[in-house]
Order: sequence, then C-alpha cells, then structure tokens
Amino acid sequence: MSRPHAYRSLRRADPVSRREFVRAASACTAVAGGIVLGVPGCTTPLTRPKTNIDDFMRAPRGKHALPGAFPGKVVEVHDRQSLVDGQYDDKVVAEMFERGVQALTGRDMRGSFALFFEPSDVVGIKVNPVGSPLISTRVELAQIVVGWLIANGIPASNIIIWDRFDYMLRDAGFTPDRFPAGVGLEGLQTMDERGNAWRDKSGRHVSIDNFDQDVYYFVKGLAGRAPGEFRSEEQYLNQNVFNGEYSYYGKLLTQRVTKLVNLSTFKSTGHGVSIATKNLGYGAVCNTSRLHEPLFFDVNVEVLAAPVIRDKLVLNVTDAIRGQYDDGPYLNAQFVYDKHSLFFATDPFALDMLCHRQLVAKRKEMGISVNEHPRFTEYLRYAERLGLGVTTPGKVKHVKVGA
Amino acid sequence: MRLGRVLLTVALGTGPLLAQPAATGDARLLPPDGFAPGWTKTGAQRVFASADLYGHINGGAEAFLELGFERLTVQRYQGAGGALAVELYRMADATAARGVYLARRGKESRDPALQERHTANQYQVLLQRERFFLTINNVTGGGATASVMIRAAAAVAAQLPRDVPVKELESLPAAGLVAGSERIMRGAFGLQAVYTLGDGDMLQLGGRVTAVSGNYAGTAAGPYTLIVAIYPSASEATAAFRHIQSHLDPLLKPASTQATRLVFQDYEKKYGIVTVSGARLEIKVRLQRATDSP
Repeated sequence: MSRPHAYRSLRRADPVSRREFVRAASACTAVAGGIVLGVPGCTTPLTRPKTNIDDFMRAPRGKHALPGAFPGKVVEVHDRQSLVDGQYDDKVVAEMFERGVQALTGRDMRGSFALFFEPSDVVGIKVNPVGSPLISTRVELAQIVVGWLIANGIPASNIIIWDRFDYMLRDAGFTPDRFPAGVGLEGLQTMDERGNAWRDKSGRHVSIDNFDQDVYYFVKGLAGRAPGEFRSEEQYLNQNVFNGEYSYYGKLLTQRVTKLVNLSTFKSTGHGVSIATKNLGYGAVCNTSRLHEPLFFDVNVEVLAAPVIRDKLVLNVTDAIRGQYDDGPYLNAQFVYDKHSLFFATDPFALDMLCHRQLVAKRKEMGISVNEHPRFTEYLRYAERLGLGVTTPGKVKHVKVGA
Repeated sequence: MRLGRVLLTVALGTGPLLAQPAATGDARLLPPDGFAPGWTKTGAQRVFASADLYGHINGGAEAFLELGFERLTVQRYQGAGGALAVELYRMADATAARGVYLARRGKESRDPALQERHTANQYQVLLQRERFFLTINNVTGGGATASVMIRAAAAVAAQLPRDVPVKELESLPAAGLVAGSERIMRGAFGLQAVYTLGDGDMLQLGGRVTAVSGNYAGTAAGPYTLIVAIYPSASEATAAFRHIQSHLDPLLKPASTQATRLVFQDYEKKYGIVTVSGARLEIKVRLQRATDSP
C-alpha cells in the first residue's frame, strides 16, 4: 500500500503477543478509568533501554526536516493588550500571529504560507487541550491558523485539528461549530474515563485501527503498565490502546496529513517543560505511559525524529498568552499567570530551550523551588547531537517583537 | 505466546483490584445544596480510594500517595452562570495534608472570609485543615463565581476538625528561613521537588519517615537549602546516610567522605554537605563553600 511517506519501521519482533494479550485481558470484567499522562517519572535510570532511534535517523531527510528552515530561531511576540482583566482580545492575538510568522520567515503571510505549505497539503494542527479553561491551546488561536490556511488555498476538508484523546478536544472547546464546515476534529484514540466502553463486542479497543502498526517507536524490554501507575492492565489498555514494546503512530500522521502545525502551550511538567516537543512526543503515539519513567524527556526527541513527524512538522506556535510556571502540565490555577506572548519557530527544540529558561526565571521570581539538575534539559542537547534542533543557549536566537 | 500467557496471568490476577471506587466518601463534609443562593449539586458524588487516584488527578497522584492518602470525594455544583468542582482529600494525617498544601499553594493570597490556611484567586481555592486538603476549581472560569467558591470553602471548613501543628516543621531553624519555602516529603517524589541527590528514595523515607526542607537566606553561610529527616532510630539514619554515599547522583562529585559527613560539589559548582548525628540526618545544598560555617 502506498503511503505519503517513504519511511516504514522495521518489522516487529513479536507480532502476536500484543493482540493475544488484548484478548486475554478482555477475560477480566473491569472498571477502568482515568488518565495518567504528562508527568515524567521523577527519576531517570542509569541504564537506558534500547530504542529504534537509529532506524529513524537512517531514513533520508525530507525537504522540511527538523530543525526546518530556521534552526535555532525563536520569535516571541508580546502584547499586553492580548489579555486584559482576564478577557482575551482575539483581534490583538490575530495581529500577534501575523507579526510572529512574518518575523520568523522574513516574508509576508502569503510568502510564509508558500514557504511551509502547498495548496494540496493535508494539514494536521496539533493542539494541547490539557488544562482548560486556562492553559489549554486557545480555540481562537487554532481558528486563526485555519483562517490563514484556507485564505491561501487549502480546502477546509484538508485541515484536521487533532489531539491524542478525542474527549479532551471536546472538553477544551474544540467542537465543529467553532470552525468552518469541513475542518476535521479528531482524536487519535478514545478512552472511557469511568468504565469499559472502550472495548468493542469482540473485546478489542475501539481505537486499535486508528494506529499504524507498521510505523512505531520501539523500546526494547519495556512492555506493559508502568509499576505503580496503573492498578491494572485493563486500565492501562483503556488509556494506551496497546501495551507491548511498540508505540504506534496514529494513522492520521502516517497516512493522511502531509504537514503538521504544532500549537502548544506554555507550562511546566515537573522540573521540565511541557511545551512544543512534549505536545507531539507524547501526543502522536499510543502506549506512552510505560515511557515516562525510563526515558523521561528523551521520548520528545525520539518520537519527533521519526520521519512522519520530522519531515512534516513545519511550524510551531506556542500559546503563551497565559502560562503556568509550576505543578503542570495539569491546571493548577495558583501558578497560572498572564504572559501575553506567542512564540514561533520551525525548530521545536530551540523553542523548548528558550521557554525552559523563561519558566525557570519565572519560578525563581515567584519563590518556587527550582531544581536545575541537567537531566531536565538533557533531551535538548540530545536533539542537537542528532541534528534535529539547535539548543546551545548561545546559538538560540531569540527575536523579540512588541513591547 | 509466552508473553501472552504471562500477561493473561497478570490480567486475571488483578480481578479484585478492579472493583468500583470506595462508595463511602466525605459527602457530609461537602457544601449542601443551597450553600449559596441558586447553587446545587450536579451529577453524582465520586469517591476515589488510593488505587483509583491515578484515574482522577492525571499523573499527579504520586504526590498524594507518597505523603499518605486515604480517599478523595468529588462533587460538582452548578449555579447562576457557572460551575464548581469541589474536591476534598482525606489524607493520612495533618502532616500529609500540610505537605500537599505547601507544595501547591504558591504565593498565598488570602481571602478575609476564610480563617483557615488557604490561598484563593478567581479560579481556585486551596485550603488545608487538620488531615483535609480542599480544592475548589472554578470550572467555567468566570469571575462572578469567585465569591461562590469562597462560600463553598467556608462551608467545608466549618465541618472540618480543629487544625493541629505539624511538629516535623519545627526541625527547621527559624533564623534565616525564607517564608513559604517549607516543604514536607516522605519519598522520592517529594525530594525531587527540592533537589536531585540521585535516583529513587535517596533518603530512605519509605512513606513512613517525614523529612522537611526550607530555603535559607541572609545567613553568614549565604543562601542554601536545608533538608532534615528525623528517623525512628540512629541506625536508620545511618543507613540512609550510607545509601546517599553509595548512590549519589553521577553529577554530584564527592569532595570528602567520612563516617558521618559527606561533602560534594554539584553541577553548578555549589556544595552539598550531608551529616548524620544520632537519628537526625541533615543535608545542606546549594552552598557557596564546602563548609556550612561562616
């Protein structure tokens, strides 16, 4: 079957064990629920499990491959009128978007579009719905991006706003009535927060077919639920769809979209950040809960290194009109503040590095305990070593626009 | 095939754990219908025992479980123009509840209508009293709901037992202690929030021993962070000290090590000093010099 990308993962080593488990687990009647994602484990083991990163890096690089057209360049547009007394001014935010794109590319909006897209593209817009109503990606920002794409010739039906979880999109206000007819809104998977409605009559997770079992992130020896995190494999499967050594990419990414726009948010996760790279690293594949403890933020590098993301991700915009400087990535309103900024980059690792420094500074300013152990930013140096981004502080170019 | 059989065993073996969350919550402590004009409960009360907590607080459960968690009762309320989510955590003891509160409060912003330990803004109220930790979230985000949150918090607080002091915090010397920097920990998760000494439960707290920490400034030794743990016995304190010696993070380089004292230099060229004396383990980190005396 032809695919819109040239890369295909190597064949799995144990193609039967996973499905057998799904059937086996269905023998249990269970109440499963809840979601455990987003916060990396608090330790990193000294022995790192082997992954298939080398396969990703051997694949030929595409025209738009990370770090994209502007390695190490991060534009920050700041406008205090974007949020006044808790009220967003969407017109101001739209102006900020245009100023940011143009400062990044050095071209007007039409020229910028042409740099990243073709009218025949199918564009996936990844949002971060976690933390609504305060720190999720604003629906209005997605509307602005959709408007830009349509104005330059991409049909609404070729635009898909997506996240890993369908119900989170709904909860954050990403509903069809908020977008032009034809724009898709899709979760890579569903889960049942309170029960076991995630299975079909045969016992399979209803979202299994949404993931491409030919394209995956592989971690040797790391299968099943993370110790202590889930009370049962049943609960793990509800949230993760699969539980073997393979984290499959969504078919949306491998078979449908040709370009990606990453609309992340500005917030902490533990002592690191949940900004551009984590939005995709833990959002584009299934079976991620097993990854938190042993691989920590390296997942943000290696999942993005796969050609299905590396060669399609053309633009990263971080919604930092509000930010959260502690206790993220889930909403804790005690730590939410008005930041009045949007960030723009083709290089998501440079973006993470810059924002990490800003969040650390904010935490210090607010008297929050700051743990600056290098392990929390090591993934960014790893990305630079792989040639996926520019993260050395002196090499990251911070372009400020606005007051 | 072999993996399939193993996982089948695991799956079947977890059957008893898959029961419904504990049905008995702390509903009697929650605001009644009409606690504010027009505000009533909406939806069913939900109760989460420790095994279910991951299913509710989205990856943040470890902070509660490590300190000592008994159950969580959740109830939503609806009224004119808004909605609230009230979450009442019953912790193992007042120390655990204070630990959660200290980690989450940020800079306290008090409301004059509440006498208890709390912080409040337009979107959220956090309150702690005795073994209870209360969060009230303004689900719809509207400013008009802020005063209703305060009324809900007051209604809950009125039902809670009298607060008690957390004696472990008295291990922190008062001189130079930066107000609001105190933390309470009973395991790896809590320590990681303060400093990375290594992987896992470096202080060997095991959820049963309590350590406290605080930042110090304006002292002759310069700014530093102090961590203190009082163990049930001197032998346990010594065991914890030896565990730190043998499992120190690779980026912390020992400068000198003795039977009861370890000095190391960290990745920022600052120093740490670990000492054990009887049942007391004391750690100073982020020191400018390899000595804690002027």
